[in-house]
Amino acid sequence: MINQRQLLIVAAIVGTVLVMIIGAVLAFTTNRTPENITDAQLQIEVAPKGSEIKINGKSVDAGTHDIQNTPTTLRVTASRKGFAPQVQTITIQRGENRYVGFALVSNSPDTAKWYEEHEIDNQIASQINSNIYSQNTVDIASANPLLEQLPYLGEGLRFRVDYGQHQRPGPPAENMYILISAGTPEDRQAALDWIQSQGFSLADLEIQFADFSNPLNPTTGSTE
Amino acid sequence: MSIQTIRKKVGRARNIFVAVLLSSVFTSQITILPIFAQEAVPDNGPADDRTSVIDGFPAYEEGCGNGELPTGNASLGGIDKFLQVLAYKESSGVPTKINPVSGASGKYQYIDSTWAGVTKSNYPPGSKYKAARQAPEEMQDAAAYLEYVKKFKQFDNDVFKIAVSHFLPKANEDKSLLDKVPQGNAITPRQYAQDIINKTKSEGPWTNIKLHYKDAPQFAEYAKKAGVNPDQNNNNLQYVKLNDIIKETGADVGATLYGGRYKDGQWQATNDNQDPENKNLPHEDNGQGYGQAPGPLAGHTAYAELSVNPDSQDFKALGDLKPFQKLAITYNGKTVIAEKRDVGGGGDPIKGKKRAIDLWWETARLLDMKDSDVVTIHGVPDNTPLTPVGGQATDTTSAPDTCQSVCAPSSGQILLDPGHSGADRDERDKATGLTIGDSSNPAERIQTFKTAEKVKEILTKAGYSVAMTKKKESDYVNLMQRAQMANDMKVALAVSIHSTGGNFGDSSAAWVTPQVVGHYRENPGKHTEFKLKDVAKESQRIAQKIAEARSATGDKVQVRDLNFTGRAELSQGNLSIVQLFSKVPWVYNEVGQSGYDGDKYAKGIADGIMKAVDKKEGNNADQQCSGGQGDIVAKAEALAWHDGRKGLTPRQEYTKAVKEDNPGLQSQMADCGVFVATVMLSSKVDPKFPKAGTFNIEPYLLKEKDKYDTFPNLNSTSQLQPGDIFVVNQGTGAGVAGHTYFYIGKHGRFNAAAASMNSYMPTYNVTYFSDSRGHYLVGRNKGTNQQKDKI
Repeated sequence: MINQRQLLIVAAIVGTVLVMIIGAVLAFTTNRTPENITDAQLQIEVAPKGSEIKINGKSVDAGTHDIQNTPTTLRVTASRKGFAPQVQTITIQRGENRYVGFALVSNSPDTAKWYEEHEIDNQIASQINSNIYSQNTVDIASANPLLEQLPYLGEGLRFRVDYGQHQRPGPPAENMYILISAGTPEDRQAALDWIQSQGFSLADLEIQFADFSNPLNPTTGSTE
Repeated sequence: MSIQTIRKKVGRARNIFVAVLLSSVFTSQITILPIFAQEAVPDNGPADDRTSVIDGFPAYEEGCGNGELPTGNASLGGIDKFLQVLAYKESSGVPTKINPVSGASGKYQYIDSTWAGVTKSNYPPGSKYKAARQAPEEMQDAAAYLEYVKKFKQFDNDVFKIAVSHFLPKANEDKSLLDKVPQGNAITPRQYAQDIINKTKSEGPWTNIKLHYKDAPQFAEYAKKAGVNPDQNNNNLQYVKLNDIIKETGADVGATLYGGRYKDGQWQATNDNQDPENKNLPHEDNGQGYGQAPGPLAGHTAYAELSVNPDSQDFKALGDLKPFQKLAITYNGKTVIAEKRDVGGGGDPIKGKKRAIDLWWETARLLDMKDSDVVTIHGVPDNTPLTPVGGQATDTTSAPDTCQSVCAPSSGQILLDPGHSGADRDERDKATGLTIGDSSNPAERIQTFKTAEKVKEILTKAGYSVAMTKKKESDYVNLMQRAQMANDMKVALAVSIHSTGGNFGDSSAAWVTPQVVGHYRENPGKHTEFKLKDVAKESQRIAQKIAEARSATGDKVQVRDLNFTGRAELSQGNLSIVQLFSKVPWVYNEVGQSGYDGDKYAKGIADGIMKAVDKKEGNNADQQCSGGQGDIVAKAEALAWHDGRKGLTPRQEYTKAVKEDNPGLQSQMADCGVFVATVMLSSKVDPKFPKAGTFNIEPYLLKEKDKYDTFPNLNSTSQLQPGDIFVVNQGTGAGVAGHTYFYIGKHGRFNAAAASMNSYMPTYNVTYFSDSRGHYLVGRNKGTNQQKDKI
């Protein structure tokens, strides 16, 4: 017969063990939230299929990769014989899911018609470029909110505000500028005032001025 | 652009700066650019034994005439030259540049406190800006110009001292500082000043930096206070006699082009040195210079002097010009400054003129000279800045009436043109020879200006955007300028308001005149007629509406032609000059002067405009174009989602359009090329447009010159017209999958319509000009009823 005292001792032991097990399970799972399983993810696509991809010099396959120790800067390259290599350097933050696509361009007569002759690669390249285009438009709009209001024509046609893009390497979002067309200094100033009235600081914008051959500067005399 | 972006850039710049600084510590090989921090201008005092006065800028003295700066070409020397060099050294001429370390900013890199002081002392309008970079470029130029007017005077034109005063003012007082490197810099004040002097005496990128101080508000007022007459400091080209062939009046000579060509709608190099990827190109020139040629050609605005006798190879067709001799070369109203960098054999005369000059293709490109022709050349002083190959030729005459691509907007932007100017001038259009000078006619001028202001008031209250060709009734604006305004602004309608002899209200003195195809003006031997069918049709429709509205006020108005024949002071013909050169609808009004009722006249015109032209909806700086361009936008609007959504569900209208107008491609509807093609086919703008594929679309646009204008290098929305087709495909059709979409003008927060392969169906989007695939080619449908007529 097990007396009441022995029963209490067994129950205490079992309870202690259970508490330890539950605690261990809780401790384990608490440290394995999704953020801790993977800091960030990087999806890489490349065309033509099978081109060599490297992250910080280490060869990897196309697809999704877990990225640890964020934030971190990664140099991603894609190359293939007969195509111009491409490189993108990205800084990826904790919790981010980033996309990098490479649609390699032929640099050899041997591969000049590659995409015409390889339908699947052509489709992959199209998708990559679509993704890049979509991302660029999002980036441009978020980095340059004034663009949503452009082109803008000032009251009485006194000025016009457009945007332009420098032809230089780099993301389009970082290459945009504001272009003011106005015929007189007063109208230029009116354009600047309008920009400020929309809540934008002139100091934060790259602004270029263009002549605006219009009636607003009629004292310029003859065209002869 | 955004604050975030700016921060990123500043952060990068700072990192680079620190890296350079550290590198220099360890290697001593990297030069740190001077960190400029202006201090208060010191009193004049002895600084250095040597004196440097810029060539072409004589000593400024109180007794020098009336205190004006030298005239004519002096603007290319003197203060202008100094400021060009200064701007180049400090900011490369970028007015928004900021030094992240010192905080100095703007074209001349003023720190904020110095900017405040300089503007307060010299140019108070600039004081409203806390930092130089925030001020418009012309105001930065004005502040710097007026500051240096004082300094030139203060230092008796000693550029060395002036430059030192810019770099480290106290070094002008304490000579021992001239050869010491100030903290945070890499060069001494002497080295800095010497570099400035050297650059002012030579040419380089700085000579291309433009100064706009004369455009700054109240500049003339403050210049006068500083003892300067800026009007006498002009930038007009100065022509000089070089020899008996190139006299001061210039010479017309036959010209050829080489090293490149205009083909398939774009300029391209045609020598293998410039395009190493394409070894199949003809070896027309090695781009390196040879023989007497003094330098490489690629990237230069250059020409070759040909030979009097091709067989003799004497290279003296222009009188044996010296190497690098600069010439002003004018072709079809455009002028460039080019230099001699080559020689050549020559050949048969061109259009009766001696073949004397061979234009390097980049020079010909600036002039838009696509084939051998006759050019006018002038000698210019050696210090005349060259036209950069990436720049633009100067328009020196009005454009002839040759443009076939017309954008006739339908939204309510109106240009009112009150007749006559505050002066009588005899001016001729160089291209056509037509009389374009205006006359004063004071009575009519004053009457019609007041009437135009009333029309403007009525229209503005009704929600129209209205501009006028003159600000004041006494302004002088010639007839070509008036037409050009309408064209540049692409207004929906321009309306001339005149009065003539006779009684107000009499039908003999009241009429409305539209543009008519075939109507003309002419001088003996030169006939210029109006050819724009769509514009004429719209002009006639609106003229009828205005005539009806004017008649409703009691005025007895007819729609009728004008007649200028028999008036000796004018070119003969039956269409006004403004209408002849206008590419937009333009209606001309006349009414009797006796008993003139400006209110009634204004009401009739305004009512007619409001009946004929839709009121502008919202603020859309773009105009809907006539014919194809407008149809393209309308169809893109009808087929695309308007909220920028990204998904694979199409609008029903798009599904229907593909099925009916671009059949066989229903499975590929989420594709940029299919969308663009479907819009072009479904709108009936171009029934022969390729059904899909950027591989096909780009070559098609380039090939179909009768249907499309193409532009390879557009880079701002100011250059676009709604309905423009963007396409990037590496230019050959053999590159990686490209992209294509429409620019549709401002539509809320969007301005493009696009689809994307397997990614999303047609939807509104954002325009940009280049991406990882390169720069976009823009195709613009030319008016388009011509295509419709062929259906």
